Amino acid sequence: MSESHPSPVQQSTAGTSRRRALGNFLDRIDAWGREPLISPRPVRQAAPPPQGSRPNVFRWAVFAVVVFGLLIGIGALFTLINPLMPLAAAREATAIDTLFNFMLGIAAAIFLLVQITLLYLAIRYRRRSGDNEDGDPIEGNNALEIVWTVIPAAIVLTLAILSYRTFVNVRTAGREALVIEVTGRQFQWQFYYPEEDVRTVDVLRVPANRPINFRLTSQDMVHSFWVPNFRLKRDAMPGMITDMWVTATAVGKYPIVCAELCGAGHDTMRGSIEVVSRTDFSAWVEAEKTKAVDTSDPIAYGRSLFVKHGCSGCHTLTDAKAVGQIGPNLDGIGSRADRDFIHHSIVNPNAVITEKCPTGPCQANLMPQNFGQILTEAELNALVTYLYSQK
Amino acid sequence: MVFNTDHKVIGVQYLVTTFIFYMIGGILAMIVRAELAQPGMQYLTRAAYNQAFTMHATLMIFLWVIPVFAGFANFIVPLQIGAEDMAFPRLNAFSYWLLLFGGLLMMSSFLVSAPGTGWTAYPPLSLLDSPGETVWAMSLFVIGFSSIFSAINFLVTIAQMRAPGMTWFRIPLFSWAIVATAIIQVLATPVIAAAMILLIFSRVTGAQYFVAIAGGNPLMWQHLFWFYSHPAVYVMVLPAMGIVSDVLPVFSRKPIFGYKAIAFSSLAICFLGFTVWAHHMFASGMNPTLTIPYMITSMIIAVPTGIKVFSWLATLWRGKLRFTTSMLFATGFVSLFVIGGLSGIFLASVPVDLHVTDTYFVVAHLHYVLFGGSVTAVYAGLYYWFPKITGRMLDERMGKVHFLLHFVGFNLAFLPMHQIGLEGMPRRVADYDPQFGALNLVVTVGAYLLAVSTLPLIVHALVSMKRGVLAGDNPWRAKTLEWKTSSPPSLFNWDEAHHPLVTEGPYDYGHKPAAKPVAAETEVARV
Repeated sequence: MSESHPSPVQQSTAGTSRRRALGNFLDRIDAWGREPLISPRPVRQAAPPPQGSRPNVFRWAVFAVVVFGLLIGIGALFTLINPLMPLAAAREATAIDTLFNFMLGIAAAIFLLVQITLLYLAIRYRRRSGDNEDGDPIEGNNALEIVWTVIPAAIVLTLAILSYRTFVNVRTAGREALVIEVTGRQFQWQFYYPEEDVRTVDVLRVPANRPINFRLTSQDMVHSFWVPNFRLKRDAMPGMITDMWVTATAVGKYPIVCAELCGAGHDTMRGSIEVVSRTDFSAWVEAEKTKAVDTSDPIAYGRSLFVKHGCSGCHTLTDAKAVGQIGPNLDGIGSRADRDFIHHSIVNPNAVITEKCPTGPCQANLMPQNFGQILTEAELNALVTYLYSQK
Repeated sequence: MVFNTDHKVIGVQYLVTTFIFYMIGGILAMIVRAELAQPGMQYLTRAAYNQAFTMHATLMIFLWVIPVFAGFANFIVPLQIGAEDMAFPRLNAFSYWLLLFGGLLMMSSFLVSAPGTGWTAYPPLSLLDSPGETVWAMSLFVIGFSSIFSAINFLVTIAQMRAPGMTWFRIPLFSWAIVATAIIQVLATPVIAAAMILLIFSRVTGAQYFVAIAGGNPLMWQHLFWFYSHPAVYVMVLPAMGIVSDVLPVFSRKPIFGYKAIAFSSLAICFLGFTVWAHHMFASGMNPTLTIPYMITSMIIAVPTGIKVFSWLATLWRGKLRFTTSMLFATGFVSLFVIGGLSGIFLASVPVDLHVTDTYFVVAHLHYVLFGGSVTAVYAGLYYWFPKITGRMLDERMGKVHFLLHFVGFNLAFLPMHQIGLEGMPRRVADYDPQFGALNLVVTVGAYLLAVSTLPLIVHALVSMKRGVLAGDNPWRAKTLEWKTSSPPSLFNWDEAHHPLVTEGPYDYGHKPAAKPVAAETEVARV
């Protein structure tokens, strides 16, 4: 540094003794790596070999293998102590967790290897104050560069093969599968068991230890059907049918989450899946099929229709515990509209577009236009009666 | 002065403009994190929340990380290769003004209600979203052309305007990275421009490209979008790697380890980057069997990336490391980028991805790559080249405060996100299950620390511009060509005293005894 160009950085001279102690320690490690494997002289008398002597490659290789093994061990231990995943509730989840944990072990080892090396180099080769020399002109080393190309290539190839095997495992169709049709729509999951002819909304019940074949589609946006405890998700696409296979193993109740942004109420699009024993499942199906719908009270009947047909996905209606944010708020609709208007708005939703919706102006074409076909005359009447009762 | 065609002025215009967009994007991030600090809805409606994170991502990607590197490249590349300006100075100015116009257009979408579909804008959601979506698509179309024009300019400049003696293998690695980046921009950006046109047509004229029942396909958008947007990740990361490859040798006082390996790995990443886009779609409607080839190519990208990381470590080995702020950020880049690279391998594995895609694990991964990686490297480049750009040094003590806040705040903000995602929290949600409350609070604290970390930078950059220590031509005793002219350089970069003639590599440290004080003039005289 010339006088006319003062260095902007001057290393502080304070606190050098601690740094020197650390430096000495690292120098000794460095010297250890340069000693011959079998010292001809007692170690105590061995002077540190002069700088520039050739490193003992074998000794460093042993050192590297031990350290790498140790690091993988730490990674594995960490996974055991602090499980990063929720309870695995399916055969597929266990398979994916095994793969994940293996990858985590390798990743943790590489992570620690790089970070520790970086820290070691930063301390060991820091510039001592007053030293304005350049370092050694080392431009590269072909052998070393081949090693750190081939070893990572081998690692990722191994991971790709293992991932492929796990992929085949989780994509294999099971025998005697239970088919469940899943339809996503703005902020609700609808389920249909075609063989059992049972429909549910947001709440799914499946038997343990029987393959399930989900067939997914969407009425509107792209949704993604995710059960974190199964470690599986698949997008539900409008106009397409996608599939997903799973065999639940652990009895319990788990969340269903929509994982693809589908509009303002995306985070409210949640359901639950209950894994029960096969006998409990059969009993539940029987109960669902024989469950007579109570049509005597038009208000209660209308409320059940409101929930069953997914109105609550988009509309807010406190009486039905609905918090949808897409369509107009229906609290007190009976005091604002007459029966004809309500009837008309269900059958032909584009006829009148209300101005104010919870998240901005209301939009045409959002509400399905086929309720006139889906609902029977009696159902429609009950629904209108129920809504008109909301004063 | 304003409508200037000097590459240095345009470079500074880029840097200042993008930094302002960075601040706006940062404020949006603070709004998002405030809402997510605890479960339940506190400050925003759900629709406003969606707008906030959509605009945060769009501004950060298209108006900060991508163009900030164009800013550095504009200032530095012609200097590094010994050119007097860019090949097409007026086109260069046009690129900048397109970017500014596109950026203002983007901001104007707030006036008509900003888009709330995420920066990925998947139809059908993006077909039905607020009118701001059309403005958003139009502004990305404009910004895309800014990107294409500047990329063509860099390719021609580097191919044609090199000084005598500047052979391809004497080009500094930052300029090499810009070559790889520009190739990606020229080949991939037209695809996103086409996609934006289809989206605008769909919204304005009711065209049905993405509507399945009308014979269109919503998956087509995802393919078009990611065909650009995955290579765009390398547009954001390759220049960062280039900066780090330039900074590490200077402060290690050693040649870069494996120069050709680093240069060729940039080209390998550039090529492979075009073959991996569908790894964003493993859980989508595409044929599951087709995911396997994408998994393999995605994993292979780890190999050239690994070559770079190990080469950087080997560059430090037996050096004389001087931990200036720039060097701290460069080594910080290596440390943080490795984490993003490793989590990327999990996302590349199809079965693991089926669990972690569209969760906070992805949010953590992309921020480790684009913030811990790219932005950390931007800071390294800023502290390194600020003396060349302004002629004055940045304050090193303030710089170290900045680094400390940045490093601690960053890890606090993004490390817990990995676990949040693995445990089951999806991304892009305004509210979440209370079980994730504690970790989300930690994330928010880290995010605010990160916001605070930019304050020392802004303050001392403004002060240093006026009152900093005079830098001189070559305060870091660096060997690349930009340090062999005055700081700031004169209008056409090279006056009589500084004539670019290249006789050695960019990182030839340690070949001769360098104990004697070396002033820039004697350096040049030797050349």
